Amino acid sequence: MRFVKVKSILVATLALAASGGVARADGGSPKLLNVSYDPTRELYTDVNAAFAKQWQQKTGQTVTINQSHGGSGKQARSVIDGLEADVVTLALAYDIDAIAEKSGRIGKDWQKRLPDNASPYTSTIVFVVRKGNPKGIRDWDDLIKPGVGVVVPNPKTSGGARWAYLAAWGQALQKNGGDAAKAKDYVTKLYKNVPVLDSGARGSTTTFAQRGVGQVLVSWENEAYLLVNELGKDKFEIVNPSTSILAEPPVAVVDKNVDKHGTRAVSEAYLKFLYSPEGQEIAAKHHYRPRDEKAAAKFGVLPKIKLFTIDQVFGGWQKAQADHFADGGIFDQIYQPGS
Amino acid sequence: MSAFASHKVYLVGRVASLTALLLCPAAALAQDAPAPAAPAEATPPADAAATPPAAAPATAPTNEELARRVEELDQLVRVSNRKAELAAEAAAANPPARVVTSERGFTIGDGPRDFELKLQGLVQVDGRRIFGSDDPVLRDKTDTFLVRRARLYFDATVLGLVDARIMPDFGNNTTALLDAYADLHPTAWLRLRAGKFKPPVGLERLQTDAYVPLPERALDSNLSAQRDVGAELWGDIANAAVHYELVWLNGNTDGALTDVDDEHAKTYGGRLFLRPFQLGELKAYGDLGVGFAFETGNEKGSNTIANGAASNTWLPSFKSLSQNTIFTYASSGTDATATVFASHRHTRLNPQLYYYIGPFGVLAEWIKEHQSIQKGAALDAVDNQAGHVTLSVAIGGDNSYDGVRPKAAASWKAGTFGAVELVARYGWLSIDDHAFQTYADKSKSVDKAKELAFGVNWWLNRNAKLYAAYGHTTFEDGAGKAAAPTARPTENVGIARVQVAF
Repeated sequence: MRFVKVKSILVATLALAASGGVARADGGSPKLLNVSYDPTRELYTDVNAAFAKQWQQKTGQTVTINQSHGGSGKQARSVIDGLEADVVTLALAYDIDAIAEKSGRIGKDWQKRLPDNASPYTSTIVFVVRKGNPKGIRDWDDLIKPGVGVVVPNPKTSGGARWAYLAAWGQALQKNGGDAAKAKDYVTKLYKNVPVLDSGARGSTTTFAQRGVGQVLVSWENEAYLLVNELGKDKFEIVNPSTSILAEPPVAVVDKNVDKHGTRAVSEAYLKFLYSPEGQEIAAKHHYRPRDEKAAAKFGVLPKIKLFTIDQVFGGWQKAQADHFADGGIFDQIYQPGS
Repeated sequence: MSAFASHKVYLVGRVASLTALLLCPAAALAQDAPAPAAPAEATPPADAAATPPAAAPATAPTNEELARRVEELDQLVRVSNRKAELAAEAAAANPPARVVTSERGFTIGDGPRDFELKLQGLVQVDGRRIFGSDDPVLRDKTDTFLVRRARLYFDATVLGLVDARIMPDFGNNTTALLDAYADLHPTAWLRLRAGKFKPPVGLERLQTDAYVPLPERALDSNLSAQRDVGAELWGDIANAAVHYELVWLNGNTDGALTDVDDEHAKTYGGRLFLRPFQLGELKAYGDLGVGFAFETGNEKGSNTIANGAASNTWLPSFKSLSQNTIFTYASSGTDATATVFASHRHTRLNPQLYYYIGPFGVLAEWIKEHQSIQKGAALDAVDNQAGHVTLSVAIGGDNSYDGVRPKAAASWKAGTFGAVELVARYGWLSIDDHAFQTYADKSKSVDKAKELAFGVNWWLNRNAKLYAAYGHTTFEDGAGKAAAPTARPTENVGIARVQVAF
């Protein structure tokens, strides 16, 4: 055997292989998976198109962004279980923290990597009623009246539902001088009026608007506007409660997945795009409350509602989760399936 | 009756009940309605006023009340329907159990994958032929059809935390337990394996049998154990850019899969394997792996004679591509002092390299072995070494350490052929001159071997593969036949194989 020949073949193969590798890197068409919560389908359809255009102009690459939507908690569980998300854009920080802690796929400092605690836009919780508001629903107290069917998703699986639950609890707490027992009594009565718990916000919208269940939908503000605009102002009305909660949906790059896919740069750029004037305008167009006031003004400023934060009333997400939504927590005490 | 069908029956019943409820007030109204006016001659008697009055009729519900009841019933039906819809969606999204067939076998598991049982299999059927040999013994031993491997094995996952594998092999006219281990994996970077498994030395040895590009492994596989029994701490860090293994094993003879140790001392070892292109954007440059493995420990054989042969030397024999013995240590069935046996220290060192990109692949490694031996009362040690380089190119598929993945499975209808893998391998085995001269059974042993092998593999899909390989092995010194213990003649062997792996 001539070893020189073997060596020549090896060198030639490596040279060919290396040239192939460079060609693939230059001509790449990155693909991203954005795992998001339920009512952001329309928002990210527009964001994806705008970002892809900008990325192509900047790099020459054609980026494809796929979306996955569902209840925020359920989506987080999917990523923990191995769904190969490049970015997560979920309803609440607790769900991204859960991915970071349980899977290690996201660095624990994720909230410090982007402005405003990695939350490029905010929203709140409002009510949608049927046209003419036949039950005369004006504020939170009207939701616990007998015979009022309230539609809201399951806080165990839906981020929007957790915001809604905390909005209800927080306003009751404030109204009753911080009396937690009275707040619990209020929320207990509220969930007695809930006939169906969907797993996500979009499901609840379907339940209320298309299946005709209940008299009031407790909803994300952006989802409420989408519902009224899409399904008819002649069928539904938005009711803004006197008080609600400031919801801050966060975003993060899934570190281990982007490193595995080789998509870190494009994923980080994608999330930064949400903070750009164009990204903020898209958020405002879809009735989110952007951080940029100019963008907010461009599409009409949303009604002023007295908003409290989760830190002010509940001491942050970790405490709120442990007290209210953990197994055996207050929600489990007040709500029994089928009751 | 399916759950969904029974729910429909329930719904129909429910709607019927609600309709009946809705109709109740109307029936009551009918019963309570005043009788039609009687004709004049039927006027009640004058004492009628003295008759006790009939029970007062119930108050008729107002239109508002009826509307409210209708709305309530409507809501009940709507809620019931929606709950049924959600239940059906949930059942579809989280099936209680699933049976999956894929290229990697058959899996039975629950929805969240906490519990799984996977059935996999491997069948390799060979046809082998020696070319150009005038040695009838060699021909008769090699020219054969052979079930090289026949495996049906199980992988189980329990609570999403512990895996277990049991893999027997019924091929080669023997029955052997190859893998039997439990793997506790709290995280990807920290796993604990206990049982019988592949030890860290031998990059090609660690490659799954179905993916090794030639029908038999290279000559250097003679210097690593097939399996060993013990515990291993291992894991993947940074998206498998860093892979590590730390083992505590019985310690096994080269090529062996013995289950039980022969002395109290154990073997320690480890492997560090780096795949830098797994990081960040570098993946486009392929999969480069560079690593180093080692094992060292004490192994103690003996020169005991049982049934007319040395029974437990704890020393190996080495084989060529055709699986014929090309080296064995001296032993005697009558004189124990003429038998060579292992005497404590046994160390293996093994640098490893592979690189795969697109259709191209190269895998190379070298193993150096230090083996302490004893013959009679004399203690000594030998140093053997071996290595190989394999080049492979996949036409119509992507190449990797885990075999070729055809871009399209072979299909007569679709006009696709799968993928063809072209392979070339150069390997060598160098026995310590000192060992060959003093401790080998020269009637069966060579001092050096060099192998050049070529193969063409047709991957019909990921599961079915046809091999055609040719190997040319030359030897220095030693015997090819007992009658002429001189230079062993060159070995030319052709091997064809049909393989199905799932």
